[in-house]
Amino acid sequence: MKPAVHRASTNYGDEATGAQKMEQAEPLVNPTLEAMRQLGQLAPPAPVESNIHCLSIVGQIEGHMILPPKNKTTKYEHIIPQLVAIEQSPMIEGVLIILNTIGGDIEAGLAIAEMIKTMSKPSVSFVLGGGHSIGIPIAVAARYSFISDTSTVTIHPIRLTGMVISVPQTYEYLEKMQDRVIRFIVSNSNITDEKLRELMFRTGELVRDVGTVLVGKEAVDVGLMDELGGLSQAMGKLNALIDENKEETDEGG
Amino acid sequence: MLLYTILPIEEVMEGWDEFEPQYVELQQGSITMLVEPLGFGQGRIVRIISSDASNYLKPRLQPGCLISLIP
Repeated sequence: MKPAVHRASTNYGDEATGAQKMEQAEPLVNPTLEAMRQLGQLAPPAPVESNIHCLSIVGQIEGHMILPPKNKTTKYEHIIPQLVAIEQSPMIEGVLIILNTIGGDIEAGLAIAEMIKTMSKPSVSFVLGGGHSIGIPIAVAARYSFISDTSTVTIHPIRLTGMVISVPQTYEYLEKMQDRVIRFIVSNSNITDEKLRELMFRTGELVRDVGTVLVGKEAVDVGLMDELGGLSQAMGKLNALIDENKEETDEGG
Repeated sequence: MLLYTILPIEEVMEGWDEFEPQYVELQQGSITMLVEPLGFGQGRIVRIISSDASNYLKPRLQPGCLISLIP
C-alpha cells in the first residue's frame, strides 16, 4: 500500500530565506482555541526552558508500512532523527522516555532501542499503562527503567497469524527474530535468558495465547525493570544521572 | 515486515484496503515535507525529511501540525 505522492514545490527563493520565513511564519490558528478543540483544555502555561527532553512512545510503533488511520502510531523515521538531534543539542542533558505502547514493527522497535542504548546522554524510561511486546526492548534500553504500580508488560512469542506455519524455514526465521529480541532484553536488564523464555512460553496466563502479563512490581521482581515508581522518582533518577554524567565529563576534561 | 504486538493483526490492519492517503510533497528551504492537504490552503504534516536533525525537534514541524500550502 503505497501512498500517492504528488510533487508540489513552493518556491521560496534561496534556502536561507526559505528557512527564515518558516521560522517567522504566524501560527495558522488561535493556539488557545486549538488547544481547547484538540485537548479539551485551555492552552498550557508558557513553557519553561528545560534541560530534559520527554519522548513519548505511544500506540503502535510504525515501521516500514503506514498503518491504517485507526491506529495511533509512533513513527520511527521521526523518532530516530530526534534522538540524533537530542544527542547533538547542547541544551538537552537527559531524556525521559514515557512508554505506553502495544508493540509494533520489530525492526523499528529494535532500531529505536539501539539508538536509546547508545546515546551518550542519560536516559530514563517510564512504563505507564503498558509496555508490551516490542515496547520491552525500548524500556530496558534506557539506562534506568521505571514501571508504575498498575502498568503491565506482556511477554509473548513472535508469531504470524493463522494456525499453521508453512515451512520449517518460516519457523526458523521467527526463532531468529525472537532470539534478537531476547538477546537485547537480556543484555540490557537483569533478567536471565532462561527466565525470559520461561515467561514467554508459559501457558495458562493469557486467554488466547502463550506468554505472561507482568503487573508493576512483578516486572521488577523478575529483573526486567529496575524500579517501581512514578514520575517524581523517574525525574529524580534522571537528574541524578545528569549530575553524574556532568561530573564524569568534568573529570575527563 | 514482522509485527510484534499484543493486538491481533486483523485489528491492526482493519481498513487497510480503503486506506489510500493522498500526500503532497512540499519543499520549504532545506526541508522536504509530506503533507496531507485539508482544503482551504491548509495541510497537515505527515512526515518531514531533512538531513539537519535539529529540524525534527522543532515544535512547528512535528507530524500532525497544520501548515499553509500557499506560499
